[in-house]
Amino acid sequence: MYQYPKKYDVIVVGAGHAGIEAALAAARIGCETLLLTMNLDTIGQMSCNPAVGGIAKGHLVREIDALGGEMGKNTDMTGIQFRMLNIKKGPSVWAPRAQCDKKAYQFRLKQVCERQPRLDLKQAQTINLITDRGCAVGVLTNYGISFVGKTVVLTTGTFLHGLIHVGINQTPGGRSGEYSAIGLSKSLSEIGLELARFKTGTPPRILKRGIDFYKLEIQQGDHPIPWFSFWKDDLFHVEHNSHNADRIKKNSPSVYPPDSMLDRVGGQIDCYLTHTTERTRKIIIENLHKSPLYAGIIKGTGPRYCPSVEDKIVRFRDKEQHQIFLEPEGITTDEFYVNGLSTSLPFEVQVELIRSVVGCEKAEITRPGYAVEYDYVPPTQLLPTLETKICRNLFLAGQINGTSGYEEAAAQGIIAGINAALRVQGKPELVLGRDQAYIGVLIDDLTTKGTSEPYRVFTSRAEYRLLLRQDNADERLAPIGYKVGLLPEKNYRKTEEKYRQVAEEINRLKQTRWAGLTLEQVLRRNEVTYLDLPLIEENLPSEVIQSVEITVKYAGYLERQAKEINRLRELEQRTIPEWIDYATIPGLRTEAKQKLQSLRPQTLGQAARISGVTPADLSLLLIWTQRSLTKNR
Amino acid sequence: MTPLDDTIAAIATPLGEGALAVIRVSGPEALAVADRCFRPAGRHAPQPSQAPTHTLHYGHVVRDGQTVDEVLLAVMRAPRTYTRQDTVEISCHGGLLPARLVLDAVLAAGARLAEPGEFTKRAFLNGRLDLAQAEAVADIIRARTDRALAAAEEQLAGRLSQRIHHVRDRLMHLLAHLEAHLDFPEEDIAPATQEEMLAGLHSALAEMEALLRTAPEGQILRHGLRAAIVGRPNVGKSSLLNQLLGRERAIVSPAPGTTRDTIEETANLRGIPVVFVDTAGLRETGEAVEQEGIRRSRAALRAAELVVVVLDRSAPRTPEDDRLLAAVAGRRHVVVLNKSDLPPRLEWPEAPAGGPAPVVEVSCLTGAGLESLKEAIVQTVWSGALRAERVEVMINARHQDALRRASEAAQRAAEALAAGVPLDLVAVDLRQAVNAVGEVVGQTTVEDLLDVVFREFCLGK
Repeated sequence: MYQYPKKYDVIVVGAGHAGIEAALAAARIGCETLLLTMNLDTIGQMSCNPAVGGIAKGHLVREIDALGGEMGKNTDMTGIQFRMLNIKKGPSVWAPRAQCDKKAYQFRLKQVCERQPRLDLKQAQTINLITDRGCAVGVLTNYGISFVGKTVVLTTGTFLHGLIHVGINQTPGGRSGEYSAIGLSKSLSEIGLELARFKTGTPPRILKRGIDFYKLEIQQGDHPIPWFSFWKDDLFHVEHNSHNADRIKKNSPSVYPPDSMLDRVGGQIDCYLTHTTERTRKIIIENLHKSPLYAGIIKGTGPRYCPSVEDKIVRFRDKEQHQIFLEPEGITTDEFYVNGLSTSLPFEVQVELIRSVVGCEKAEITRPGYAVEYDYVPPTQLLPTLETKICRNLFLAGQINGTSGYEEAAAQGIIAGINAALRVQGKPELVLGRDQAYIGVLIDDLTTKGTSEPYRVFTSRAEYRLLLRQDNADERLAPIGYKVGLLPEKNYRKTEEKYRQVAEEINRLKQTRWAGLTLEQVLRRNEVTYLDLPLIEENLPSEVIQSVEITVKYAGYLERQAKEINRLRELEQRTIPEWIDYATIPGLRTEAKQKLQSLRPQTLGQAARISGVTPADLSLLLIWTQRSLTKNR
Repeated sequence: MTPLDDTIAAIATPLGEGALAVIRVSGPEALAVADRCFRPAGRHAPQPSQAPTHTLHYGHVVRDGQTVDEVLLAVMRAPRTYTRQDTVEISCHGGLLPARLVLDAVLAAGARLAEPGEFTKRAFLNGRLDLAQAEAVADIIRARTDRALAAAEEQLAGRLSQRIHHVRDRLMHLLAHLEAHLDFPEEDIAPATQEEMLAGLHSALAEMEALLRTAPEGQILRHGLRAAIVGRPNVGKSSLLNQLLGRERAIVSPAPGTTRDTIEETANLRGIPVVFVDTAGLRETGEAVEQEGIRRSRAALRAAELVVVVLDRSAPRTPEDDRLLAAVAGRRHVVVLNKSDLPPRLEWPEAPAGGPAPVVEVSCLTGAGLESLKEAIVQTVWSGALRAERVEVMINARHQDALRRASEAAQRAAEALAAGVPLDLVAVDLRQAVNAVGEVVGQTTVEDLLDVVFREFCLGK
């Protein structure tokens, strides 16, 4: 065995959406970081649909961006169609979504990683975690090379014992055409982590020339483009744009970020909407026994929000048609992603199936859809920092924690990377609250409640949805990103300036009277927008105007949620001693004892969110913890 | 979840006994709550929030502009209080009903009903109690919650649980529609129309109102039916009370006007606890003490759920008798013709004005007719609004508190919806309603909500 001489602060295993954010965060904070991947050509790969964002997911990307992460910028640079969803509903559920050029997305990420100071990117398969007295100290890769690190972040995605199903055909692999990681699962079991199985799936890809576009409904991007990144200067300034900066003409007067995909193509690309037919349903019903899901071959639990087309047809028999979105995978390929047709039926049935969809009668499948089963680590074994409870300095992020989605993975990645770096630097950990960020909701849900299906964020999971908006992610998180050393100071100052302007303008509206009312009162009316106001402040940036509008219009609701947060903050701040033995607390009901004993919440706030813990149990717990504190004093 | 820094209220004295009852209010909003439900007597008397700490104030508890009771209110500012939070203690007239009405007024003014032991819990957590006392606190909470839990389980087995679940399911269904609409805009799910949503909300509101209306009936079974014994002086009201109780409680004398104040005692009539209130005889009088007694009699009469009108069968009918009968017309009442052992001199018409109230002849001297009277009282109670099947779903004060909050939140949601407020805001109130109802039947989690979303909609872009 050869031990690589360089000693790392942070070793990240896996270079998907979680791993990349983790590695970039750690390196940017100042840690010597190693990023290991099985295949350098597929880092940052969009294994499923070539899109980023959507409801709640788009919120996550904005939060990652506000903290100083890469996902937002990368989407802006490689997106080929941008939309702001839900714009007709309230501002808390507006969410950006973009179609990306799949290859451009990963190539740009690869280069960002390659050019990141203090980050080493290496191709190697990790087969073993090296621990010493309950602490992670490094990893062993194939070919017998070991790497030493003060902390290890595992982001293995679907690769742990990945098993791909197409019909009854099974192939080991984490993704179509790639290896499965075998040794690592065993290594995790050996240190005492419990593993379980989940399942997810992806639809077939088809070729453009077999699609009859005349039969499809066109879906266009939005104007103006709803960018993901708050840091427009970074996108539009060639000096700051590390990617291919040498190739770009300085000060090119483009409306798109220089060298972005939109800049290269000259505009947005369309997507298409179509639907299944009666024949689709017939094919599925007739071939259901060939589906590994229905034949009982797949044991893992799949996500309800992203069901296979088999599931959709069986569970909603009365629905005559299901919508299918055809999304281009990029501008240098003719492959289309068939969104809504996830399936693990045999290849020959998939061919029939796709040809039963309107406009796809002559479609050629380039890659079949498949289901993949994989090991994950039930996330109640983690602390809210994403460090494992059982092994110090070992952090887990992404799909290994039972989540699904690039955005959920990246969100955990950036937090795991930040916390690994803070550990190395001996600084206090970062835990975001449920009232601070969707990232906080996501990680709190995972670590306190666990999940019974691959976890995805929804805005309905957030108690304080009105406060966790995509427009104010910078206000919420830029100060934190700056404080941990991730977000550059200039970006932080920009956020300060933006919200100073917002406060100043709101103040002006409160003091300016017009026809017997203050302008603030006028703006509160449902139908009035800022631009309708008399005596508006010219030259305010549109983000400032938007923030002013939202703050004024929804003030009543926002105050109520803020009040609610203050009401519950006390519970969040009351910690439960780690050594507590619930069995010895008299009066706790058996169900509460069992749940608390197995989930071991850190605060009373977490305990309160566990189903089966009643207010009376909480009271007893509160008394008990206070009493033990008094005793020890 | 029970936060420590909202404002709680409860009756602090044992129920149904004593000349006084104390309602304790504690928390940061205690003084504001008091301001909303207390009218100090005297034009220049301060509002509770303006009053110095540890002072006592005379005035009235009011609700919706109506006087509820005449009270003394103590203002105690943090930290020199039991809980170390601002505290207000309201001393009102004793007995169950005044205390309940005052508590209701305080809750309506924005306080939350305290859980068992919650004042003591706060006292402990805020460092007011020492360790030894704290040991006792956990015991109190445990004992009370065990009992409450047993009661809750009994109740949840019954129809109450079904009906509350029904309300919750209805609200959850509406919320699920809203949430699906918000979280899955790209799915071709048909969102409920505004009319459908409003109709659903109004049905849920109606169901909650129906449940809230059962509150007084539940009160009766739990805390007793309040029956006022009224009549002219010296018709034998106190003798009747003693007979019903089976012991001497009230002083009986041949002199009219012996009873100067109201007396309360609970008797068990065929399983129903009945709180009998013996009142001072109603007559015109110049004497100050007796006048006050009569004023209280009238108050007791207004507050009673059942009126027992006592007439003297051995004396001719008087205009005072007629006024009394007219006053109780339309109320649930029983007419007692006392002194059946003496020769009858009272002319009694076949059907008195105001409906078919039972008329029973009794002799408090011999006890004749008493069983018939008890039977008549029980019959009146059950045949009134208190039909047996409705008593199966009765709610207690905790349920009432939760349902009231749920109902208010649902009302806000309906108003917002009708006003065209964005749906994510409507969802805030709707969710609050679901959570409040959920407190009665158990916690509502986001997982429950998502279960409904995924069951009802085919999602999967």
